[in-house]
Amino acid sequence: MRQWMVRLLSVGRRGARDRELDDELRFHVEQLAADYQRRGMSPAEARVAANRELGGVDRARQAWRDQRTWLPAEEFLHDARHAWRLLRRSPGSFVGAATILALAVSASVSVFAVVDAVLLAPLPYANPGRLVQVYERFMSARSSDASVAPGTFVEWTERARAFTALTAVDTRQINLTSGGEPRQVTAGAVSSGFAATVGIVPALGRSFADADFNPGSDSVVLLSHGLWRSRFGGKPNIVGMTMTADDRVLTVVGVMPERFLFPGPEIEAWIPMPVTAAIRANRGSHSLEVFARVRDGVAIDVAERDLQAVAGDLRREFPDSNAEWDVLLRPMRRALLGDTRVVLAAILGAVGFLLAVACANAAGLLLTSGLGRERELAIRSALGANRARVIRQMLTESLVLSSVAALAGVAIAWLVQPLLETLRPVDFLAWKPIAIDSRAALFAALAALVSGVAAGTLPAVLASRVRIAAVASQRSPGRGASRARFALVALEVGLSVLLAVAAVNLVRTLVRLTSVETGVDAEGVVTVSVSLPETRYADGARVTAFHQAALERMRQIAGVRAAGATVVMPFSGNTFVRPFAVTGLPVNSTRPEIAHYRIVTPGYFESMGIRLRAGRAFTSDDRADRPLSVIVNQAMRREVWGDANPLDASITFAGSATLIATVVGVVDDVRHFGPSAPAPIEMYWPAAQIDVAKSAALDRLRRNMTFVVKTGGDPLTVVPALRAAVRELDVDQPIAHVQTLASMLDRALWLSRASAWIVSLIGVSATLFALLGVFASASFAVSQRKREVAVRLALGAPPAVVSRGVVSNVLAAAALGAAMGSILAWPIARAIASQVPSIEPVDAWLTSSIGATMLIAAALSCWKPARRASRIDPIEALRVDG
Amino acid sequence: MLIINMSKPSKADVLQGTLDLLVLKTLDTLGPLHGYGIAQRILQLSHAALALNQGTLYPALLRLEQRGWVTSSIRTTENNRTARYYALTAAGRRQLRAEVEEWRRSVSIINRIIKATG
Repeated sequence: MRQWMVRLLSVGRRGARDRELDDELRFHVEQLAADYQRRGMSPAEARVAANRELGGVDRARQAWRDQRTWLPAEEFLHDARHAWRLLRRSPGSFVGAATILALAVSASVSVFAVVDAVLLAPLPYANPGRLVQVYERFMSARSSDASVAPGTFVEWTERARAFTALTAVDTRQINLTSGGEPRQVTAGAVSSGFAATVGIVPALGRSFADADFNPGSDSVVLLSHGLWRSRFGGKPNIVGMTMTADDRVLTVVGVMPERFLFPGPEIEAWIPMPVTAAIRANRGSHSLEVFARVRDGVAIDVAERDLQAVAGDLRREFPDSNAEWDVLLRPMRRALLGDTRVVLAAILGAVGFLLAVACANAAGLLLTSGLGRERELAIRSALGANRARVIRQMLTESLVLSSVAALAGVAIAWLVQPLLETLRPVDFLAWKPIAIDSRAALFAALAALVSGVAAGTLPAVLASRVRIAAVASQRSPGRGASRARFALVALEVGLSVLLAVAAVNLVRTLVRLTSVETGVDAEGVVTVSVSLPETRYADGARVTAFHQAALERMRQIAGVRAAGATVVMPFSGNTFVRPFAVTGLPVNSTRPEIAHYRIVTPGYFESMGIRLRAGRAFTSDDRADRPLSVIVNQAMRREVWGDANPLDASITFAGSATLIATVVGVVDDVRHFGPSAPAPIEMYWPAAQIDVAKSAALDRLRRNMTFVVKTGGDPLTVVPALRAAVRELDVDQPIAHVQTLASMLDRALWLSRASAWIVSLIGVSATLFALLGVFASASFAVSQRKREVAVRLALGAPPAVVSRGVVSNVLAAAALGAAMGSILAWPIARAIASQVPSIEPVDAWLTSSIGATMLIAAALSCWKPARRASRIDPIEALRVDG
Repeated sequence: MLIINMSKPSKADVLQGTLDLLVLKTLDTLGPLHGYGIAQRILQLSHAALALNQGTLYPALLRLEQRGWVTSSIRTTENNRTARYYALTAAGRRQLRAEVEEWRRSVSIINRIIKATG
């Protein structure tokens, strides 16, 4: 072991010890000769005898060196030095190949850094592989998942056996009034399983204990690291201090660690949610996000079946509220990431393609330089280098090339790294900083090794086949070499057609997404959220009065054209659903349906630019003491009534037989889940009538409204006036989450937009690489065939015929590649489209036109070398050496 | 380990593996010594039967040094020349004892076999 360490350490170190060995050996010979002389030999005889006796200094030196280091490593180093000298001697192709590889490596390392932070880095929970999100699923509806009803959740915690802990989260806005300006904070109200589910110890203080969930002793709060820093200056003695939120005094029990998030990055604090009788009884309003830790040794799908059995029991026991409801489990990372996973995988795939194109390119250039060196290789093999040795030397050269490229690539990636972190949107989930760290560098090394071997193998094997006789007789390069060049051109063109198809298709998808009607008019619209604390606004009439007065004041502000409010904004990712039934009118289906409901005030449709299709909008007459009215969207009208008239139809709600609402209007669809998803079935309820439902959950939702204000100009200029309007009504009332509707739309689009940009960029560079490769191959093909061309020209062949001959070979290769690429693009694009539904399907027109474009580009890149070929001076060319 | 090269017996062939033993023993008996001195000593004691070739001796010395059994340093000889002297380390001394023991065991086993079959 130790011996091997010493030997490996001395690889490539030819120092004093080697020179001293010569002295040592000489000393030995001289001593022996002196000995012989003493015994009577002449000095010359003695020297000869001593040398003979000792078997030659050279052999000894060689044997000693073999012992000193590890021979293969020593040879590798020798090859590497040789390669470095060679590559430096032909800087053109070296720099070209290294640049292309470096760009490809830097792109793939950057993508790896993102993938590492998002897909590979462990989630900030103890043993995160056991965590799942639990959804309820309405069995007869197309929508796949829904939030969980509080009462149903409580039943789960008591009946399910496959979990060690379950916790429910209700996202609320609370108003912090102590310690500075009033500020609205997004809090997660969590049930008692929180600590056991996340399994993370706070950075300061403690997590929630069971006692914190008893009604009456639940005035405690856990802070996120960010809120502790921003609002409390990172005070180390924060634990035990109190703060006033929604007029309640809360005691801080702990601060969570820095990168902890649960469930989303927007949550800044956690408060306990005690299980009250009201919560236990509420199985109708689906408002909670539920997370669970699956018991060790229980597979996720087994746990799902366990909970599905519970859901089956609940369907039988509570048919009013739980009929038609099933459950669905999703691993935590999938639940948190959604589409991001697929998009990242697609980008990773694209980068892989780019690396492949770059390798094909580098292989082409190496092949080119390798063939130019036929003579050197022939001499080497004539001098006794065996085939394996030649292959090893060539591979070493490409490894040197790819190592240089990897270093440069990591350097480039490192330079653009700050860009990655700034481009990252706030709500993009990553569990560690996106950085070019040691893992990324390791990935680069691996990529370099693989690409070096991939790029070097073909040229190396071909070069090792060089026949001495062929070189000596100055024949044109062998069949194998031209076939290999043909294959490389075809490969490069094929791969870049694939990438170009993907890129063009993504851009097309993007254009469609950005031009799609979202159903709202974002021009000049600003939104602010106002969250009324339960302590001061327990009475529904007060809430309604506040909303009416605030909207009145907002409409008075100069520049404001309309104002309204809603409980849930489109594109926010949040939604609330409710099963319903329709009576009295012809109905398509007798099964209960599920609708997404929005609680809105008068003026909402006007300020969002949502057009009324039939009937009327809400007015201030839709009060708690009047008959209940609802407005439905076009999707719901189509789904429920088909061509019949929905106005005046009656709607009832599962679990509350006394509530009967009348349809008073129909409005246009809004793409609530972003431009890429179809509009859901929606109904709108007037905020002033919510009291009738007598639901604590709905009351809480209504205290938490987002005001939507439509202005004639820059919407942000009215924000101070909006804040003042709210202050005049209630001094302690902050406004929060000020943003324009346009920026919300942008955020909803960023993922598809960013990925389309990235993939197009990759596609364009791959196409450029491929063209470069085609051009290099074409020029080289011409230069290799100089003699042939010269002979044909000398024999009187017309230049046009000659150049056609040169071009046709390269074009045939390009055509083959383009055809293969176009054909293969089809199933690959289909596979991607099946994962990301918003992506357009690929059509034959697109693939064939891209294939044709690449072919034309290849023809153009051949044109110049071909012209040069036809102008070769035969005398000059025939004199050329090789 | 004992490797006996049976294919080409000659007086210059030192049994590989026993060479280490011979060198270590020489250094143990005579103290620090240069390569030439080691070769001469082995030649004398073997009554000129074991002549060490340079290509065998010096790689062997290097191997012993890499294993940490000997150290080497440049010193001045009696007749005022510089030469590399090899000296036994503590680990080398332990190794020597182990190899001598191993050698004795091997010889006695082989002797028993020779007596039994001969």
